[in-house]
Formats: sequence, structure tokens, C-alpha cells
Amino acid sequence: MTEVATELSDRALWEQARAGHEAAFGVLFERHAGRIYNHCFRRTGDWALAEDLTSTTFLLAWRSRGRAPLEAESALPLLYGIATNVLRNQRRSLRRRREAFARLPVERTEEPDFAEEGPTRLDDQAAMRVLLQLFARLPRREQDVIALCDWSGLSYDDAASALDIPIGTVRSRLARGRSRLRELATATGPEGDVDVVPLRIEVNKQ
Amino acid sequence: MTIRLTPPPERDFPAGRLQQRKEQLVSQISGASIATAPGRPRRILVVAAAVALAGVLTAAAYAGYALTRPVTPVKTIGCYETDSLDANTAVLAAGTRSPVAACARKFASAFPDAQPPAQFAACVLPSGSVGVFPSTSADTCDGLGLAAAGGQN
Repeated sequence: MTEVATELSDRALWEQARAGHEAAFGVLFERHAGRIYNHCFRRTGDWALAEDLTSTTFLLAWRSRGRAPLEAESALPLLYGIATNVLRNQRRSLRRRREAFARLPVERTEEPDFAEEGPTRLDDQAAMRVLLQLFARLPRREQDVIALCDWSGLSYDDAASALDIPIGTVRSRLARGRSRLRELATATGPEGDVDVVPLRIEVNKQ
Repeated sequence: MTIRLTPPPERDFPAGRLQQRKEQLVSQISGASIATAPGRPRRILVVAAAVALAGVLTAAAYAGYALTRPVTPVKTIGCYETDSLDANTAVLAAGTRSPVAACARKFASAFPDAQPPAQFAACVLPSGSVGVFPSTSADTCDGLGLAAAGGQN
């Protein structure tokens, strides 16, 4: 495989990928897989599934690379946009893609996966699933903007780009979604037990 | 029960798994660019070649049949004014006389404005019956895409 300078910008790597340079796309994967992985986890509450969805997102990004040059400096809005569509279609397409990946002749590593931090990850899954039960009661379009802006830390501009909607729509959906989510949370548990903390979380910028 | 509206903190993609996933991805996209790019045109070529071959075989079979098929016994023969399938035609009852002799005999009365030809050729028409044409060479039937009606002269 050809060496690729890992300090290249996303846009430069994307251009190389558009020219058919697989290694450049590999660098983009290493750079952004973590963010997409966490985003997919927050939408599914399942770390293993999030891994599969991350792979699918990048595979689809590779296939779509020929359509247009990268307009933003970062590939993340584009990747979040693809991930959002993948999440939407996951039920019907995931099994097919998982089988395709399983057929690939790649050696399994001896790494014990989540062994060291297994309990923490299981706690994450349990907590996320409780939140998702509530979250699932929001309209899908409001789920998308909350997941991108509040949970993944995207700017309104980047979220608008990822979802291909006007920035004003991002703001209005976000406001409605936040308000509705708090109402749902309040209505669900005994008053006072609901921990209505700010929705936005600290994102681990890689 | 406490419901937190904040998701759990971000976790790292486990390093070994990340590397493995990257290898899988690069392997798949490399395979895709090698296998699918020429694959589609190759399939199209194979299909086109098969269709062309079938067409050639059908045409050859039809040509072979048209140029060699025997005369179907019929009760009439066609006498043509010129050596063309679109020419005026006189239909005669097939009798004991040879088709060429029958046409030669009737030609002047059937086509009074035409100069009676010196020679005729008997050919097998697409219907299987005999057509008799004015002839100036030995390959009149062949020139019309018809088989010569052997023994009908």
C-alpha cells in the first residue's frame, strides 16, 4: 500500500480518495471513525452495532466520493450525514453488509475487545437504552438534530450541511426537540427524580 | 428513577478493532475498484457477443435454407416479367410441361409490352413454389437470394 502523509487535511485526503487512492481513505477512517462510532452508539445503544454501522458509513462514503469534491474543510459533516442515513436504513441493510464484511479475508486480532473496560461499556449501553426509549418518541427529524448538535457537538452550520437542510430549520427543530424531550422526561418519572441536565455533552475532539 | 438526558461520555474506538476495521475497509474498497470496474463492461461484451453470434447463426441458417431448399409441390407457377421479385407476375397452372417451357410459351401474351427474353431461370420462391424469371446469366436465382429449382427447367 502506498504511504500517505497523515497530516494532510481532510480535503486533500478526500481528493486523493476521489482519485482512487485507498490508503488516503484509510487515513480519513482512522481520523474520524471514533466520532462516527460514538455517534452510532448514541443512536443505537449498542457498541458492537455501532462498530458495524461505522464501517458501513465509511464504505458508503467511499462509494459516494466521486460525486462531488469536499466543500467543507472537515469530512465530518459529510460523514455524519451518511451515518444518519445509514442509521435510518440500518434494519434492512445491516445484515447484508455485516455478511459482506465477514467474508473478507482479514486476520482476527488477539485483542480482547472491551475486556478491560467491559463493565463501563455495559453501563453505557444500559444508560443509553433508557435514554433512547424516551428519545424514540420524538419525531425522527428532531432526533437527528439533537443527536448531531447536542450529543455530537456539531455546529448548526455543520448539522445543516450533514442533513442537507437550511440552518434555520436546524435551529427550530433543535428548539422543539429539546423542549419536547424535557417534557417527555418530566412526564415519565416522578417529578423531582428527573435529572434535567443540559443536553449538550462534552465531545472528545480527536 | 433518574432519567438523565445526557448520553454517556464518548469512548475510544478500541485500537486493535479500529486497525482491523480499517484493514477490512481498505481491503473491500481495493477489491471493489479492481473487481467491479472492468467487470461490468466484460459482462456487457459477453452478452453482446452472444447476441451477435446468435444473430449470425440464425442468418446463416436461413440463408443456407433459402439457397438449398427443395420445391414444394404446388399447383401454380409464377412467371415474372423481369428478374425481380417485385415485377409483374403471371400465374399459370402447373401442368406436365416444365415451368420454364410453360412461361416461355405464355410470356408474349402475358406481357405484350415486354421483349421476350432468350433465357429463363426457374427458382424456388420464399413460398416454396416455383418462380420463373428472365435470365441473362447462370446465377439469376442466386442474385435474387433464391435457390435454383433443380430439374424444373
